[in-house]
Amino acid sequence: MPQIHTAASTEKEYECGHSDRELKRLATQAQLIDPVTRRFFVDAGLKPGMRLLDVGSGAWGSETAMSPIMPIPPDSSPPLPVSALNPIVEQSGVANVAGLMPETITERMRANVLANRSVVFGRYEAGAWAKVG
Amino acid sequence: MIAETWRRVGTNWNMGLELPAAFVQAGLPAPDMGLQSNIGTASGPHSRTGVTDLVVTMAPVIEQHGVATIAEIDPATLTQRMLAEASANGSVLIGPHQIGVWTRV
Repeated sequence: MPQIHTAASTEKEYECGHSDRELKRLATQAQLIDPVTRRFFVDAGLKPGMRLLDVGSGAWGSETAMSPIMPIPPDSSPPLPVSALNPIVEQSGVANVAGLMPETITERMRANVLANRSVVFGRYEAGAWAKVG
Repeated sequence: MIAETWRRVGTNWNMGLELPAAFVQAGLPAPDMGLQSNIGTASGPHSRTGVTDLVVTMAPVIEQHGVATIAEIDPATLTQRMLAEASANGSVLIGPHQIGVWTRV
């Protein structure tokens, strides 16, 4: 069984926390950007049977965007705390590396690729929000 | 407000731009990249960009780091006020720019 790496308790805490409100917000955000995520997956050539490492998956909001492409694990309804993901990713072959800090991302990606992931995908906001009036 | 709070907290605000280097440093093939976003008007289907939701969730952290007070943010009315302002000004709303980076091994 491949080793799955998720956020460790020793890492810097996520500033927004993991309250119900924040998990719901992450789920809402995932829904808002589902079309964007789906286009990325299509562009990446994701197909059934591939093993995906989702870097920076948040509360694993990618599963809805992924659903037309890959089967959805039965117990993956968001919102889910990161710590609850291990059983799901073991079943689906979808691993996540969430709550990443820059100093740990390289090591975690390398370890997960060695655990036989075939596609590595990362998605982050560009850090620029604009309003044109 | 969001960007300044992340900066004061010490969160990397440009991780999307640093992902390709992180992939390469992890020994992965040079990745492909994409940039996507939602855009629309205040009355259109993409009026909700998620920005105000994030501000509301972050409000305690925003206040803690002296960027703004919760009273100034007024979370209960923030989304409504921003959409009303955008509508009154005929503004175009652009959602967060999403950077996707991927590679196959």
